Amino acid sequence: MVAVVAVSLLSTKKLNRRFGGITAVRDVDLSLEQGEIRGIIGPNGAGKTSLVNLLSGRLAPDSGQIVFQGIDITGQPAWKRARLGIAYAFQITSIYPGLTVFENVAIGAQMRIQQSSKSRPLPDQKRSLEEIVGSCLRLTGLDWSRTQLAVELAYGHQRLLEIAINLAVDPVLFILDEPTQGLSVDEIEEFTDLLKRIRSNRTIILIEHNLPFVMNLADRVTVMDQGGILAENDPKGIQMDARVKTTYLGE
Amino acid sequence: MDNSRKRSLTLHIGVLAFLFLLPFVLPDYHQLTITRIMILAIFALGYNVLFGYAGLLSLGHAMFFACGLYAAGLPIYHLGWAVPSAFLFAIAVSALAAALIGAIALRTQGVAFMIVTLMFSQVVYLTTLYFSDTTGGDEGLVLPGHARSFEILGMQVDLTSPQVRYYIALGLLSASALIVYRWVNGGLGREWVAVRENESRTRMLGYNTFLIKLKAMVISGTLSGSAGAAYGLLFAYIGSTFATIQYSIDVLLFTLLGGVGTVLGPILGSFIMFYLIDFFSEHTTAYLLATGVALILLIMYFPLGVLGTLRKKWLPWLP
Ligand SMILES: Nc1ncnc2c1ncn2[C@@H]1O[C@H](COP(=O)(O)OP(=O)(O)O)[C@@H](O)[C@H]1O
Ligand SMILES: [Mg+2]
Repeated sequence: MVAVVAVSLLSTKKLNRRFGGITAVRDVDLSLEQGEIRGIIGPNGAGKTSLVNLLSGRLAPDSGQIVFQGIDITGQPAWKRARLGIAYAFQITSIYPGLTVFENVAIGAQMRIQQSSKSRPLPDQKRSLEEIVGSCLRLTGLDWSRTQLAVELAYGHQRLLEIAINLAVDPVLFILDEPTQGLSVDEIEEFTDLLKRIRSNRTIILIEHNLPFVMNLADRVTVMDQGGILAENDPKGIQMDARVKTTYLGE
Repeated sequence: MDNSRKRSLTLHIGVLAFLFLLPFVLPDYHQLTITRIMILAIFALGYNVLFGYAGLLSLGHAMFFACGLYAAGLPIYHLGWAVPSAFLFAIAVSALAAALIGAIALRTQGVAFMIVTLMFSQVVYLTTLYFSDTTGGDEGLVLPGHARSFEILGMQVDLTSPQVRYYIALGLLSASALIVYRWVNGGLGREWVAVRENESRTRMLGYNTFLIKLKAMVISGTLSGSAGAAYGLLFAYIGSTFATIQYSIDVLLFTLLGGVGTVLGPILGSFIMFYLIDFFSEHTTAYLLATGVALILLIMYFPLGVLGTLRKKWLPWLP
């Protein structure tokens, strides 16, 4: 008999984080499988951003444990976690406004090249900076803008640029915090295609307010409310869940 | 890309070649002035690594200049060291001082960083005064005769000759400019700029931004220290005036004036500023006021400096 064992890429145990009197993240046990797209939804202030900040190392937990690829990363600084393959696209776009689009992505590519000499080799050995940047720009459809300053790009393109910068480091786990916020309907459609193209060998956490978008893409959906996990299921199950309906979907 | 690299290299080499030929047409007085300016330009070059590339505004860089100055001069004066070993020693001491001070000061950011560097610099200045038995304090020390010449590779070098001093200064400036040019155009330069433009983004890509800033601090402090050492050795004088805030402000001005984040900017800025101060001090005793006004006008109208403005408007290839 062939047992299909789900490989856990990342798991948290009783993760807690308070801000003064508010418990932003409360006893969260989360487990991600290798290769899945996990949607995280929940009302504003539910703790979604705080939770992924704990995962990426931008915040330290008050208690609890985070294990990534079998390594306890709870105490590791953000940059070390990034080197292990955790990438983060901020809720508020974070790029290098004063640099060209090419240079923006080159900063990510340089990290990948530095890293490749060690534990994670590049797929084909001598991929130069130029090539990595080129492929990330083509993938995100930004190739035309290489020599433009990032600050001159339209908002939607800046969001894509942040994705391109992150793709350049070739992350194992890619966390996207409300990537479609402020995008037009057309842009969201293109974004959906992009995520389908980049998901092949990655695990993705997708924090979203746009329910049709996340229900379409996610393999599983976690619903957060007041810092805790309210429900977790596949998209169909979530849409049927009575508790979710009353507290979040508002039906 | 490649073409612009060639052009910028040509420009840099052209500037150095121009400086090389200058003494053949210049009277002695200006030769001496330009020797001083070139040493101060090394200081500015070093300052610019930290400020222009890594984006960290230090208000205390005179401490590194003074550190090199004293680390070179004191062993010569008190222990009879030879010039070359004193110079190397000064470079090592400056690097160490920059690493130690950096490790502490870089825990702060923005205004706090400015204040912490300023305070460290005051500590260095007051230390030179406190130990005036050893350092000569305000009056300083004139280095003894044996420090006016040295032997290297079988050659006797006479430091009392204006030409010799000029070419030593030019040699040091060229070497420093070349090193800085290579660094800022390489991977390290990209990391500095990344930290300057968006530190948290950079950290989230896997860069140890503290270490990147520390490297900038050490390289910057070492260059500043070697400028101080060269100044003391070429002109045979060490004194605590070089540790005053005046020198920290001057180097900031040179960099701002010439162009933040360009290799040639600080060199150009040192030249312009030096002659401006010269000009003002001939006509008014309030030349400090004049420098202050210049600083304010600069920040208001040319925040990018001469070369920075040129680069933005016409010469995008300028490194
Ligand atoms: N840095 C912070 N300081 C204080 N309170 C914070 C901070 N970050 C988040 N919070 C609070 O934690 C709760 C969760 O916020 P957040 O994680 O941003 O939620 P979400 O991303 O789901 O909208 C909110 O009540 C918010 O006000
Ligand atoms: Mg949020």
